[in-house]
Amino acid sequence: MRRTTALYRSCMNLATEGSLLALENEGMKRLGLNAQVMAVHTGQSGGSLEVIVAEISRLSTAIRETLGELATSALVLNDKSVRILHLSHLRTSYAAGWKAGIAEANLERYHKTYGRTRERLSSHLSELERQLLQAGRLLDDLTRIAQQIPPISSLIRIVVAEIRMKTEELLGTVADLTNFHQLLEGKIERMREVRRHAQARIDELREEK
Amino acid sequence: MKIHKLVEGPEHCWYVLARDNERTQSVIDTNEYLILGQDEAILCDPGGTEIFPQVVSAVARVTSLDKIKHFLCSHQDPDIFSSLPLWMGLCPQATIHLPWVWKTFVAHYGHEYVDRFHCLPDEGERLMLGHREFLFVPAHYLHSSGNFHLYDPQLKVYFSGDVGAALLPDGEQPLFVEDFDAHVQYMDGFHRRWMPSERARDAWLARVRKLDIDYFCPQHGSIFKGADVKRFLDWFASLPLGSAIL
Repeated sequence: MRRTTALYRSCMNLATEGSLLALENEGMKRLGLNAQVMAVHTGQSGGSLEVIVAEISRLSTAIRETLGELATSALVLNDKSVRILHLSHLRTSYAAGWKAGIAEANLERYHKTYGRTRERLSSHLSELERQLLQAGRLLDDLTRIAQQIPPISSLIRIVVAEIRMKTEELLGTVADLTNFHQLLEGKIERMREVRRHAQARIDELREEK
Repeated sequence: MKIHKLVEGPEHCWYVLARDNERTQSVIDTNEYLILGQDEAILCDPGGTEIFPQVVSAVARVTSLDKIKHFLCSHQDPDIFSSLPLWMGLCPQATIHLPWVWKTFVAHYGHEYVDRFHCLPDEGERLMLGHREFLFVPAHYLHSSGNFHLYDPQLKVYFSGDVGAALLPDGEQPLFVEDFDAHVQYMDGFHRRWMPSERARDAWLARVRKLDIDYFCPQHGSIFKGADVKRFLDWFASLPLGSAIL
């Protein structure tokens, strides 16, 4: 039961981390909007600042979409892990009944029910494993997106040198982007760790007799 | 867990499953009652998940599990039927008789079996086991707000749920009450606290005193038989209830 509870917690944590990151991503979206306002004020529409605005906006959208898929995946993970928790409880009780002894006349029925419970458990574990793989792919996507943030910061520094205006705000944007990048990478790593933990629990559950 | 044949008639008999020495000490000891007919069986308050292994093992010793066509879930407590999904996995053809007020609550134990629920109306109902009639007797507010007992008019057995329950100390757990006066100390606190309504108690007593009862079978503690049945009803009639009303 401890393993299934741990698996459930991992799945729940993955969903929570994804939701928190989605909130942080709203900050990134605001950076894009701020840059857009600055572009208008500095008369840079159509210029380098517009490129930055478009890039930030594109990355923010890409992150939001990937997190959306991750959230859908997390919902399935949660649902499956709850079912696994329940079925694992049933399996343990049936196993204990088996150990206590089932009279010969009832062996076949008992064995079939016990077997069905194990099959259902195994099927949900397989589905959970597929969803974890999917979550892993989405985390890879997020990593690739995160790698595109530092070039934007470099681009902003170049623009600052070019326009020599509103440099404080723009350099502030660089700092915010750098922070977000660090946070994103930290969250991705945390989610990878949670995913690995969940996979390890699945492997252990599969080995349980 | 021990299984004892309580009483046997020409077409059916009562078993009591009790005194589970293998149970975890943190869970309350319970009595489960199996009424075994020729082709069908009723299991009354099958118990919680913690004791399922012992109960199923004991039941499987005396009957084929596919004979179990009825479960009584007298009320909603976890020691009554939190083992529902385990039993319904084994006996999917069975009907679960329960107070209508608890339908959606008991569904928390296993919603996938809700189509096997039979909701008992407040006034109670009859149940046929073969040619034999049984009665679901209303015992609302004793202690649960939706609560039923089961009466067997032929063998004069009354399954009384928590009414008559006793919290017996280890080492003093006779199957039948041996000395009523000495037994009172184990029932007194339980009934004063768990039973909330004297009005409900009196209405129930008026109903039950009309029945001919040889065995009065609570879900916890010892069974009353013979003259002790009336002794219990008289004792209960004068007991102040609702001790936690502050």
